[in-house]
Amino acid sequence: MKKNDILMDEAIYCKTLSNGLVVYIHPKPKFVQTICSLHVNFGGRDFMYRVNNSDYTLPRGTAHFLEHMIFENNSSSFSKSFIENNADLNAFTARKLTSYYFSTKNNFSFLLKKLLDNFIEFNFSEKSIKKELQIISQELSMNDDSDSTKAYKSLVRMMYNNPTIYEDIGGTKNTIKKVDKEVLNQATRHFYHPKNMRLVITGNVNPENIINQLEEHPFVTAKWPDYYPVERVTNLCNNTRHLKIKYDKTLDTNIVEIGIKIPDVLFKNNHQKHYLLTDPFLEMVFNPSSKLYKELKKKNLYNHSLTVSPIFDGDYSFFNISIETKKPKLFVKTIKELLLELPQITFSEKVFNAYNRSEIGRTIKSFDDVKESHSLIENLLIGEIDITKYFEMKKKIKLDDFLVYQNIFVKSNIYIVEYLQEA
Amino acid sequence: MGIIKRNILGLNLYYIPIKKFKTIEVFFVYTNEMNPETFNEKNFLSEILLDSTKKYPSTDELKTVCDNLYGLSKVNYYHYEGSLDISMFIINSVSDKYLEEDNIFSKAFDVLLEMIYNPKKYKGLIPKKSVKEKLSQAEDLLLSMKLNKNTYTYQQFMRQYTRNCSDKSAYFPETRYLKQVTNETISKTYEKMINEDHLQVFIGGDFDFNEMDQLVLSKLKRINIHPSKKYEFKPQFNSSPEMNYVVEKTSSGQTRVYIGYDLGFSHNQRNSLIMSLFNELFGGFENSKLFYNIREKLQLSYYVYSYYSPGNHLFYVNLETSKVNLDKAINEVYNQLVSCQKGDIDDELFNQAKNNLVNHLETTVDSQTKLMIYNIVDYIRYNQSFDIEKRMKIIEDIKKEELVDLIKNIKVDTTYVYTSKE
Repeated sequence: MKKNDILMDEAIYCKTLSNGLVVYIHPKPKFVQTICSLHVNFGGRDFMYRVNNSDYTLPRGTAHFLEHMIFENNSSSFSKSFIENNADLNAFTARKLTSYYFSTKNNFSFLLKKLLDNFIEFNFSEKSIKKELQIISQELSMNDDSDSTKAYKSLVRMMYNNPTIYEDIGGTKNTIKKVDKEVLNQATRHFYHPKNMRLVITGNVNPENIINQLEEHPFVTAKWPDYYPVERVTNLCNNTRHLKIKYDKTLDTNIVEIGIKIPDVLFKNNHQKHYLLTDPFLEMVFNPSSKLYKELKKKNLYNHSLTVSPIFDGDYSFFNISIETKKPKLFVKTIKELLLELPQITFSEKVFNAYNRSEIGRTIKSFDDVKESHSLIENLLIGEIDITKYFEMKKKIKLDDFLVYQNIFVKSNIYIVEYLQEA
Repeated sequence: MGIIKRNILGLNLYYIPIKKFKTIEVFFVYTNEMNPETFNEKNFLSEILLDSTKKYPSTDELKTVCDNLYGLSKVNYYHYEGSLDISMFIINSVSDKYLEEDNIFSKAFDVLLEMIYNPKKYKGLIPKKSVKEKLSQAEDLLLSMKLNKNTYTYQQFMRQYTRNCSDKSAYFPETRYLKQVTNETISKTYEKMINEDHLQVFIGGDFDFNEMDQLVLSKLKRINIHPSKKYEFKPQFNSSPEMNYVVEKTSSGQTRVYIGYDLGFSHNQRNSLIMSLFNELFGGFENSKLFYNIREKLQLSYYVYSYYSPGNHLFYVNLETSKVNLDKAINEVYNQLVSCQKGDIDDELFNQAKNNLVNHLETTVDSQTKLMIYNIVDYIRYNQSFDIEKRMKIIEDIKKEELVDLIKNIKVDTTYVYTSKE
């Protein structure tokens, strides 16, 4: 087992078990809780893929459906042991993965065993499939009247003409009706293999004891069939349409969604650096000392709904700006002008140095909380970032590193969606 | 080790020693009687004070100062509980022990005092420009809230649910009084907070008490210490004899339901804990009555939960369902309460809910902020520190008969339905 020191008093242990499962353990001996996540590399995008030179399809929303079904696996109540031990068990499905996680104060080893017990064999009854279909249909309806969600999806659809990027993770009420036993079996056969999984543990544990326990668990000792890595291709062809406007009198205010596409040359084969730079870059662009921020404030265009975030999912990436505003036209005109000026501006060295100091403090604080540090480690692993180098590399970021990102702010990379109350 | 009380030249100071974290948190907590007419001012004031100060007159200057203090985080939190109005100003600073520089915490404390006691003013008043900006943002917020159906329906429900105590409740932005907000009313609210509100200071983390005493003493001249009345915490809910049933129709979307209850019993610490236990078993987790029956058994809803607010002694259920299942879902919620009131709560569920609550308490030690807030809340409500062991013992001792006896007073006060026109 390899120990990697990531900070002065924080270490991550890593081991690949005999069945191919990769385990990461981050001991936090002063804390009472332990958090455990089992990641399966199977998500909302995986409805068309290739395995062992054959092409396969699944109904959209299968990964999410399967996430629900795991709780009904083998007709047993997966949750029961966790509830009895006051552990919080939950799961979520993202575009690239499904995560099953629990946090507990008591009996961690026992619950870890119970977690993995549920991933050895898969058997779903027709009755539970039918039941979950109803529940998932209700879940999918929850965002039916969210105009903000619709506006964002319109943006992504306009930017990327690839359904694995813009399709809803949960599918639709029609596509999930096609999920049956056969579909679920195909999904578990291709994706629910230890070599396609990862286990992350943070908390009051002894790494050696955990590994010893795992090595003896049937999930590890079972004879697994051969695993064939899943191939996925994301086509990032450029779309010619850059603006979409929709009028809806029932809207209470106007929604603007902006996407600035990042060329794949900046992140393909360069995940680590891209992941490191995008957040601080946006911080510099939207810092209260920046021209952009001051202009928005001066024109009364800034409000609490303004959000700015880097989106990076491994195979595509963009900067997203979103706002709900009474002045959509003025906002779009102003922000567009300011964004197009970015290639020429020089960021303040003073502000950048202050930012670096704040990052030191933020890193210390994030490891002061079990949930936060687990989440941080998880996100780095999901982003395929080398944790052992990440924190050191963070300290070495320079202002010059941002130049390549400044230069992407040209008209051909900017996409805008406006949902307006009236014409 | 429990809370350490100090009184330094009239300032009520409480140290919460928590050795395992690398940060120190400071809470300045101001309390007064809740007044809906100045609710907006209090909200705006909290934000304005943390935006800029006399010494750092722009947002970017203040941000740079905080960034240079290793990411000093500053937060304001304003809310009310029953009859009490509570403004909190909070900083979270990395402890000097974990940095290569000294006096970072002392400088952080100075920034906090600067924000609270040295606001930017023009001719003795909070600047009109700052207030105008906040009013404009509040208008945007009102529109955004309408757009977000979850937020909108929650607010609509709460206004209906607290209709009989609207002189003692408010929701931000409180539209009844928004037009009367000016820089003069905000300045007046500020002066009242500084000169009349009851102030308590809570400091949590790993530090030497005597050193902290000296530090606070050295900064006392900046803090306005005055004799002040300690305001009593008293929940304000009033019901009416007839059930309030409100339906609001919209163009499309899922049906959202809120059911608010009149608890029918007085608020004290023990009753509040019994009610928290009932909330847990009724709709607080995956094995609860509501979750099991409405979601798992009848598949009427993806999410359904209950919520008890000990601060305002309010209890409600929230669920989302399709229009066609509306009546069935509402009736099931009504039926589940009736069944609990008849004592139909199995022992396993009862004990599970108890264990859940105890477990939640035990894990508070993993969060410095949680520990701070639990202590502050217990001081505000019950004038005592947060004692985990004592709290756990009370919960463990609750008998099912006692719980059933208490909940039989609960009745539906308001049912609010937000549904489509078709």
